[in-house]
Amino acid sequence: MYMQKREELHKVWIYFGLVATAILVLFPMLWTVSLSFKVPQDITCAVPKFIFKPTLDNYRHLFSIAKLSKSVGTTSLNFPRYFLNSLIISGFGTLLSLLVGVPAGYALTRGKFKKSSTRENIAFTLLSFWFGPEMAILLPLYKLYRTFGLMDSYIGLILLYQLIGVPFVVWMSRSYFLDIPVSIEDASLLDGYTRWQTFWRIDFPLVKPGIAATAVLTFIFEWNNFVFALVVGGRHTMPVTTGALGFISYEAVLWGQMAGAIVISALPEIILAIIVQKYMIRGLTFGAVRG
Amino acid sequence: MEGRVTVAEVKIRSVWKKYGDVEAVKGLTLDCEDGEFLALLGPSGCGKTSTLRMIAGLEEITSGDIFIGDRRVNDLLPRERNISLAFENYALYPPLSVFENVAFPLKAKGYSSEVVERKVSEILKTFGIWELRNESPMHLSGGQQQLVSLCRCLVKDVDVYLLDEAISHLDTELRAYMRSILKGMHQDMGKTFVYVTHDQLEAMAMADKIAVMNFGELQQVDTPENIYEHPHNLFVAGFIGEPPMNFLRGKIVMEGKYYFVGEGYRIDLSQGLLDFQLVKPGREYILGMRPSEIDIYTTPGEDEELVEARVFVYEPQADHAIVTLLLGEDKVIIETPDVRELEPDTKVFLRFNLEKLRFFDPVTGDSVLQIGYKGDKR
Amino acid sequence: MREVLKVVNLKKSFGKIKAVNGITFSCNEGEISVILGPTGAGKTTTLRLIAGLEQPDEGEIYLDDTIINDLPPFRRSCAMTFEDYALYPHMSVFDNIASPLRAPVRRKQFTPEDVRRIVVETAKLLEIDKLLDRKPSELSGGQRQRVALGRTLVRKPRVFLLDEPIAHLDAALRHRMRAEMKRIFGEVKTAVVYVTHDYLEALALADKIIVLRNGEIQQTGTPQDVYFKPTNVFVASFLGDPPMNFLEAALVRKDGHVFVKVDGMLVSLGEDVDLDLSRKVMLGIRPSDMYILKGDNGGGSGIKVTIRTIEPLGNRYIVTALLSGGKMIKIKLEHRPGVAPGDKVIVGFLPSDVHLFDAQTERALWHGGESNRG
Repeated sequence: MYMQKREELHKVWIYFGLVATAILVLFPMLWTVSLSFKVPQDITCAVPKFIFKPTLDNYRHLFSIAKLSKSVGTTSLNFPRYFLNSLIISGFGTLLSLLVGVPAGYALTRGKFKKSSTRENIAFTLLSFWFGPEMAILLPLYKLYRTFGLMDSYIGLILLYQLIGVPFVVWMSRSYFLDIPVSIEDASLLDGYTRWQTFWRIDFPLVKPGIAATAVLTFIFEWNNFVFALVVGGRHTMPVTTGALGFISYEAVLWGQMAGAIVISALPEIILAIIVQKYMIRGLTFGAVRG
Repeated sequence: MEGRVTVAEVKIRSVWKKYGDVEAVKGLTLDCEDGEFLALLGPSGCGKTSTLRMIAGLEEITSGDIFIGDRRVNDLLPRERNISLAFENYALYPPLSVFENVAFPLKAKGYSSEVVERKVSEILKTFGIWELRNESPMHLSGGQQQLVSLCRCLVKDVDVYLLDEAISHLDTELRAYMRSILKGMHQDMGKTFVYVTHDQLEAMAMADKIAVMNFGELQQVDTPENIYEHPHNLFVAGFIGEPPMNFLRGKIVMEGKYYFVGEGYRIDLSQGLLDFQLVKPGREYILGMRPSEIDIYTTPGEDEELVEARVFVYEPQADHAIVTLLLGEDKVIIETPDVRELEPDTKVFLRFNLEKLRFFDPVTGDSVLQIGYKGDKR
Repeated sequence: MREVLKVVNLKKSFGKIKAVNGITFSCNEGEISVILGPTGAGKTTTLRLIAGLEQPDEGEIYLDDTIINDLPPFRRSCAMTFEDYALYPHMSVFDNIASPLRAPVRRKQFTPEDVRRIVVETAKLLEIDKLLDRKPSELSGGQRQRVALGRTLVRKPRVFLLDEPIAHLDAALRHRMRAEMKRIFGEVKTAVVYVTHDYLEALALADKIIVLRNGEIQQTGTPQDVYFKPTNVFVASFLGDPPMNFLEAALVRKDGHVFVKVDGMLVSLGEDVDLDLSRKVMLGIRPSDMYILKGDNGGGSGIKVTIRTIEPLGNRYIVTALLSGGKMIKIKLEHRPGVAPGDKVIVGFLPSDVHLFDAQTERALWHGGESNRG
């Protein structure tokens, strides 16, 4: 009896903790969403307003800016363009990362190396590119891109984003391939299939969910990148992350529009994550167990 | 043994263990006498490990009582129960050497270093791991780690020793060897041991009493030989003994003489003793016979009716052979000392040892009767 | 019987470890050859070399007198089962079994109707025809093992390679599957190479046993040869549960007879015994060949021991006893002996059950039984 009461009290505390954490985490996002529907007065007033009259003005301005882009000061705002840029760069960037990374991950799993430590060393070196501080390479990067005329170009950004995508895809796909027992591939070889055929009929179907999850995460990471876009991006290729800077102009900070831009920018990531959520958890924990 | 003061019997009274809605242990009542080696035997999920953990104090007892000696231990912490535990998964301390791991509980109790040195060396040598005394557990194989864990458990001087699958990770040869070592140690120490295992050979070899469990319920508690000869139900009968017992479904029928009639064969029961208060002609029963309790002949009997069967496969085993036979629609395994090879499809003739026939109720699985068994139980 | 597979002086190392160190043997059509040895002996590596999953450092592999060292796995007429079954988790049982028949290398040989017919036939043989639509994750261990077996049987290769196929099944199932496999192999008449660490399995199934240890063959022979005339201590000890007892002994000549003296007991080996009497020997005697004589009843000559433990295992009893020097021996009996721990008894055995091994080289010198030559 006493045990039951103790357990129930336990549960109350747990729920309390969960709710508090949820509020803490979600509040900034919900506030931002609310900002996007507020008029400037409501946004900047001294006492924050929870109940207000919503307006769609901010969103209207975001999408109609194109017409004013050449007339307002030095920073021009072209949100739809930025959104499209993000889509192009992150989309193709992810695709390229997958095309390069997945086979590399497979090679690092099944390939025969002279020393077994070589395999781990290569994998870890690749991973370290991902951890590496972006700041460290900025100067040579700038010079290189200038020289080769890659500034403000889609190709330039997509190539650069591979530093974000490829190590991650290699690392994740490696762990998925490691989860496939070698004996299944051996069995396929003995059934009469070549290694290439074995890869497509055995390995690929088994890692599909994991690769899908990895693709979504890669897309998100590339979408979120700021520094690279800032350094080698330009007027034409600016994605939403750097484009958002434009909301901070000399005259005012366009909070409402910025909030709206944030909401819209976040939407693709959120939608993708929800779609792939089931696979993500499986995919991430597989990687964690194997490591 | 004689000079000991404490009496360390373990009494389990109507113990239940529930994990949420799952009933892991259902109303278990069981005694382990002082100095006895009790094995808790059953397949995984039968509740044996939960029971051991409740005796140890690592799990809460949902309801019921457990006594060690004359103390009710339900609310006592493990360290207050004067027990020693050998886990299935070792739980060794990596930074300490093997020697230090085993010495740990003794040092904690405050023994002098000479005594510690002596006791630890002795037990390490008994278990054959003296050479590993300075190694770190991390460098040892699973089996070696398990032996270290065993040493650490047995080096203490307590009332009750609790062992959970303590030799399961050793390879077969070593396991057989360790059975004798453990049994010998128990005899020397004279202490109470409660031993959890899923391996019936281990339980049979070492235990004074075996408690067979299935789905949280106690099936039978008895000496190894009694459990082997007189299982109380189908589960126990099938679980103990290798090769496993043969089960034949059929009816007792009167056709001049009494027969057990299966699908496509019949067995003459007239030489045995049937108690018709327990076994009714016309009713269906499951007949249980161990492979060693059936004799095989290549010619039909002269003055007795032998049962005809066909050889399915013959497997030699050095000093005996295992023959799988087709008996009507059923398959039967027998063990025979005769090592002459038999080709598949050969016709053979079987004599069933009528002293050992065991009947089980086909619905409840309970043992109904054993022919020739002059005992007071079912 | 035709020779199907021959392996000559096969060697394979992984780094510094010599997994397979000069192995030579051959297998005939319709014969079951069992490679028996403890874990790490090189059994699986040998199998993988035959299958083409590993390349040998030295040595040749012949299939039907053709050397196949350079052929990739899919060109060798071998089918293999793996210890972990290696079923394709994303395919149904049917597709798993059909897999070898659908390989592009073979696609011309089998039409889809052929495939269906063969798969269903094989499934019926293994009693899994009702499970063809299920996925491996929905099957029990025994069922999975049968699917793996089915996938091997479905082609008609020249050699079946089986790697510990029943090691992970529970005891009852293991017995059943062992019997079924023996029956199936008997009917199919292909050469079988079967790997196991369980000597009872080897004795039950094999026409020929190849005992392997640390990558080297210890003995090749029939089950009778290997069990009754082991060539060295390892083979003698590995085939037996409990393992053979080994006692220090010496050879003496007395009155024209040669005796082996062990723990004060003299065992006569006969007159015409050609042994170097100066060598130190070990006397090997199986637990099942020993018996207990109670007390000191007169004429019974044997070894004096003290009973330590008695293990009742149902259909046999294992008695552990200690010699005066502290050495432990085991005796296997069919019925409970009328002794108790602590009793002093005499243990006897027949000269015809005695094996002698050189104490230094561990090679066999003498076996009792029909012939008394080692």
